[in-house]
Amino acid sequence: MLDPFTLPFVQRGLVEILILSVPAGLLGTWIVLRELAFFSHAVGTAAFPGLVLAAGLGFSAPLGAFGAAIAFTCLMLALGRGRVAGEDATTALALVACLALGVILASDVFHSGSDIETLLFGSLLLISSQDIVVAAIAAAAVVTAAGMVGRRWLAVGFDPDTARNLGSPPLPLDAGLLVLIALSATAALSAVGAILVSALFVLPAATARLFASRVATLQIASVGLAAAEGVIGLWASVKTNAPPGATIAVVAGGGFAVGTITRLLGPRLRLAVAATTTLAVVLAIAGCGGSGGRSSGGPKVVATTTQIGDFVREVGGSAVDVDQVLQPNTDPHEYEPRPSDIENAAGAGIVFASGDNLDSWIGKVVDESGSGATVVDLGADAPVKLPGEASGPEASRYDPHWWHDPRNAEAAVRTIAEHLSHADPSHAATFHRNASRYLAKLRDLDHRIAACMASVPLALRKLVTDHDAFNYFAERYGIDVVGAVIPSQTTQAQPSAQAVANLVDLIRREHVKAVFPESSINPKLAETIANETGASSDYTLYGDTLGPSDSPGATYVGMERANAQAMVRGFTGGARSCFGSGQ
Amino acid sequence: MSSSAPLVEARELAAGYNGRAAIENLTFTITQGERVALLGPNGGGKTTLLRVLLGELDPLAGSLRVAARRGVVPQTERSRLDYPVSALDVAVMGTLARLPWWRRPARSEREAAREALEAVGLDGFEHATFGELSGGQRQRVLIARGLVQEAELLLLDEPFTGLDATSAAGLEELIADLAASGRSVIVAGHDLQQAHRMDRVLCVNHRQIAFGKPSAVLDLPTLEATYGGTIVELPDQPGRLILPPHHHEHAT
Repeated sequence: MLDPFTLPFVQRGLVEILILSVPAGLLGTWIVLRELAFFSHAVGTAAFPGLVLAAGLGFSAPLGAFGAAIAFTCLMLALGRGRVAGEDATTALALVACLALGVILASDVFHSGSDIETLLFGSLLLISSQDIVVAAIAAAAVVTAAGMVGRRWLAVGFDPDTARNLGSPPLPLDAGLLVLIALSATAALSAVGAILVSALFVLPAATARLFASRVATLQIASVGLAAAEGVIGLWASVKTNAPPGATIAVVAGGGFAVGTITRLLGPRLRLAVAATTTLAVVLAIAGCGGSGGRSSGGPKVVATTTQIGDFVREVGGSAVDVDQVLQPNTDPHEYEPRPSDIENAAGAGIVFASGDNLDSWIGKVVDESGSGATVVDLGADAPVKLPGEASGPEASRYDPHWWHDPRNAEAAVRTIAEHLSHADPSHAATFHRNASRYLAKLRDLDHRIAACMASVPLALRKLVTDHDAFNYFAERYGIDVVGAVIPSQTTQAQPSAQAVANLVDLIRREHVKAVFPESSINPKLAETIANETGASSDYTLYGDTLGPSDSPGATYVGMERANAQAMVRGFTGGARSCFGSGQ
Repeated sequence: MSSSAPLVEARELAAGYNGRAAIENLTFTITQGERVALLGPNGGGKTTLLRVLLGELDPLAGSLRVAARRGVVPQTERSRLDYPVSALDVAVMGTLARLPWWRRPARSEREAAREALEAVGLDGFEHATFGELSGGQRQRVLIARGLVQEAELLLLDEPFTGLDATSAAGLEELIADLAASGRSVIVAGHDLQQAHRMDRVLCVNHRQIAFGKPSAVLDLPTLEATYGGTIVELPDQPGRLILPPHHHEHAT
């Protein structure tokens, strides 16, 4: 039952959550007593511009986050003109200012949101030694401060008007408290992320507050509860293969619910109900999971993206165990690792990655798993390369969407066959046979798309997509990329009003007949622009990910056929189609 | 300190906010062991005077000399009654004024707080939750906190508000004891009967209306000038005055 804690990456998460529970519980007491829950939630989110700056200018993320959180705190103090606690309106004002700055920095200055998503959510499974050091610093600072001025914080909260007469001036004391919350919340970012910071800092203390009649008990209970909920959440996340941050939030929320209900009961029933509920949940989770079991005895392989997973299954057939990290229709730009991803990486011999910033997180996953796996960057071997974005941290020498040129897919398949044969020579013949058969299919696909596209007059082949993912496809089949709704190779950017207006003009001027939404991205903006210009938005493309198993885009071949079909129909206003009317 | 040297000496004192005076022309002295009733309508500047006496506001004009450690006893409703604090926790807060900011109260500070609770008649209540005590008991806890501060001048802001007659009588007795033990006490309020039993009365309505012994101050014209309204004289008790209800929360 305790087997999850034998995994090294889980152990590191365990250390991190145990350290964090100290500042979380101690500060949680004051957050709850001083009604600073909104501030503690906002301060993590307000770290956003700091993270973008740190990524863009290349300094350390915790420093950027802490800097932004301090700036946010100062802005809030300035807006509140010295009146601190419970000023929700000033907190909201300062938060909006920070978020707006972050969005502008990400979209217009650095053209990137790279890594922002992971930092907003965090992951206990990808804890580095630096994260642990930062958490320990926060814990030490909070323990020291709470020991020295805890009574004064109490005096200020108890009656701010009298506190000064009691040698406890509210402004410096409150400012110190807010700075410590900022420090601890940003230290927790890499573990639980900004969105779930409250799960650690507010919920345990709020639950303990239901029962504690003294501040000292409240503090001890909050620390204990934060630690227990963190550990149970981490354990449950490994058992159920759910993201740990969200699982801890669910456990903490459940703890608060149980606390609220038991508080309504008599003292004798109280303990019984709390104990029974906890036991039932723990046993239910313990019964879950038990992953794995299937094994071919062949090489264990991890594939990051859906299309690479498809290539490896085509080449390896039943002789290879493939674990695919991303699931269909999930955006690779937004990814939070699950426990199984790291476990699989730990046991893998080869990790096939798409390369560049599309799945750069795999390096961290492999590192954390302690795996000795060979990481093969399939994008690096692509024979056809198009330039990437010029600036920002999303900048790369090459456009990462290489698989949309079937010739690059062919090269990737050859590389996969080489590595699999090397890893398992006894099946080398099978791998090469499978690869040859699949390569023939890919060549056929390439010819058919080329032939079909050639039937569409060049003047009609004008492509407007959701984000810049189809340059390889366009280059291969003579399509003119007029623009993209999100003018970036990442889905994380946001277009400015000016950019949207320019695109609308361009679509009208160029007589573009269709705007193509992507299956894994919210189609709203593409639909709005289509409506504005009279273009169609009925034809969806598979961009960064394959579709689910019952869709035409469930395989790589199906995906490219469906894309070609959608484009030809969109370009011709539905007049022409490629592969019969079905797809 | 000799009992003749005044602890508080105000001359032509004015105080207020943003440069505008809320009270002016205050001239009075308070000596050790004196009980002073501070009378005045709501909004007439009582709180401003307490704040300038505490040193939270600087005088705008005139001079003020306070040669005493000051302790404030606010209305108990101003405190967070939902806080998880015991009577002892609140009394211990009184030690924070004397400790350097990085020092936490230790055993000796808790001992002093326990003694102060005993001194205000709350022995056995130190572990009671503050918010669950009665209004009179809470007031005593806050006075104990002032004792822990070793305050020589205690400023009580409408301490009788919301108290029943028995609690009020007990509290009045406690105030007399504090004065007898050498502390000076200023009691802001509206109760004219109580004011009669004090050593001095200070009537304030944006300016000083009167200051002196109760017998000299508590007459109809002065109180009318203080409260700006009609004062009702009790028909069967000549010389005893009562305020109209809107100024007054515990008429007897």
